[in-house]
Amino acid sequence: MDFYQALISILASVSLSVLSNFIVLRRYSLIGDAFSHVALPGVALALALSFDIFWGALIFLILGAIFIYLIEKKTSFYLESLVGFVFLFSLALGKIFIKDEELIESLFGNIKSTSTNDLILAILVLFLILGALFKFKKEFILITFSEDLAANYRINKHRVNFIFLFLVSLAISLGIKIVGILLVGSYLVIPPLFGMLFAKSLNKLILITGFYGFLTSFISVLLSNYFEFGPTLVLVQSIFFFLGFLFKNLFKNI
Amino acid sequence: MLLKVTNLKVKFESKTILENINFEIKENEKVGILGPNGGGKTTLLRALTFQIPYEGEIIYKEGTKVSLVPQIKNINRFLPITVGEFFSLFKIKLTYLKDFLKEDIFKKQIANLSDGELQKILILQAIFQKPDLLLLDEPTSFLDPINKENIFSLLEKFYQEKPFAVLIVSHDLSIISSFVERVICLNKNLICDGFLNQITPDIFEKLYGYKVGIYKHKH
Repeated sequence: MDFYQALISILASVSLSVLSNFIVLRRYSLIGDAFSHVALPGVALALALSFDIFWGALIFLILGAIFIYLIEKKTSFYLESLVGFVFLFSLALGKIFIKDEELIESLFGNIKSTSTNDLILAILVLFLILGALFKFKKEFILITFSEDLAANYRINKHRVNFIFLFLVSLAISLGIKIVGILLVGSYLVIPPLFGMLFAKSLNKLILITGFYGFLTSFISVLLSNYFEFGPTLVLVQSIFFFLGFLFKNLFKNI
Repeated sequence: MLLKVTNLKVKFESKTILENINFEIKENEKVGILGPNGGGKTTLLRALTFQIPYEGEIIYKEGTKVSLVPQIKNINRFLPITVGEFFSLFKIKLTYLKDFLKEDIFKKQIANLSDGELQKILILQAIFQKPDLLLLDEPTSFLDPINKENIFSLLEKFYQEKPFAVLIVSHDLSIISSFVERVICLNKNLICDGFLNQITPDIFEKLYGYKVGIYKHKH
């Protein structure tokens, strides 16, 4: 892995880890994990027409989000069932059109195929996510806390939800390039779990998860000469969580 | 007139939840909304705060500020913020709140609050927005008798200081009767609208679909 690729992994990790707080707090962890699979046909299409898989993934994720939003508005289906349906449909569609040798790469990612263009993309995504969190912090908190309460402050929940989904789609599309469709879900679940072990306020939670994203990806970059980056990252994230859990509980008992 | 609702109708898919709803709220009026589960009480509050699509007319007097206190069961309490942070989100200065809350509560996590504390905090948050109309959705459902009393004395105290109109949803006439002057009964349609002494057992039978006795306590 060269220096740029290492930088891309770290920037993408920080973006995803920070954003994932709101996913977990809204109890969308598994929904987000399933949703990331919607990118597969987009990745297949991008590979077939040889354009960047980031854009293929992003287009399909946004189309998927719009589709889910429209059906959810018209029916009383559970969100998780709808996402499950769209996820399975996309997986089947993607598998039919993708070549077998490309399938493994799209499922587990390939950091070594990233270029300096991706570095610009990673920087842009990080700035967009941090900027949006800064600008819409109150909106995100209120929508997470209570949609009824958000209405008091003339907050348009559809608009805020759409901005949120757009950011999630951006971050997932970037993450897919690095750790792949199957493993990108680890970012949506594990960093906030670690953060919530220690954070007593939302600001601290965002700081802790950001630092956790940085540290775990940095260590995984160092280990990537010996092991494949994506799976290593998930294992490092998990080990940090267990250590944090042990530390917290030992500390409490002393 | 603060609020005028004309021919309000709310549908969800093909199911009609509210129909032919007509009522008015005057300034500084205290009104209760009674009705069975699924009768459309919460839906009415969501329509009045323009959260859901509706047919008919909801017209406020110009410049009316509305504050809704949602049911605490619809609140996501896992948010890792302290009570102090929560109030500062709404730019409410903590010094204003010291008369109503114990000081140690500001450092407490929302997740660690009792139902009574959370309800009180939501009401304070709404009242400090200085609303012309305060909408309360079952503010006492999960509370013990002492906390129920506390909530109403808090509301009464603020009302005495600077009156505002209140629309309070409840299942329990006896609880709101000490506070409200007028009652609206809701079960898909408007079953009644009148002063407390005009609510008869017949109206209750129509509202809940079975005979309900009204017992008057002698004090």
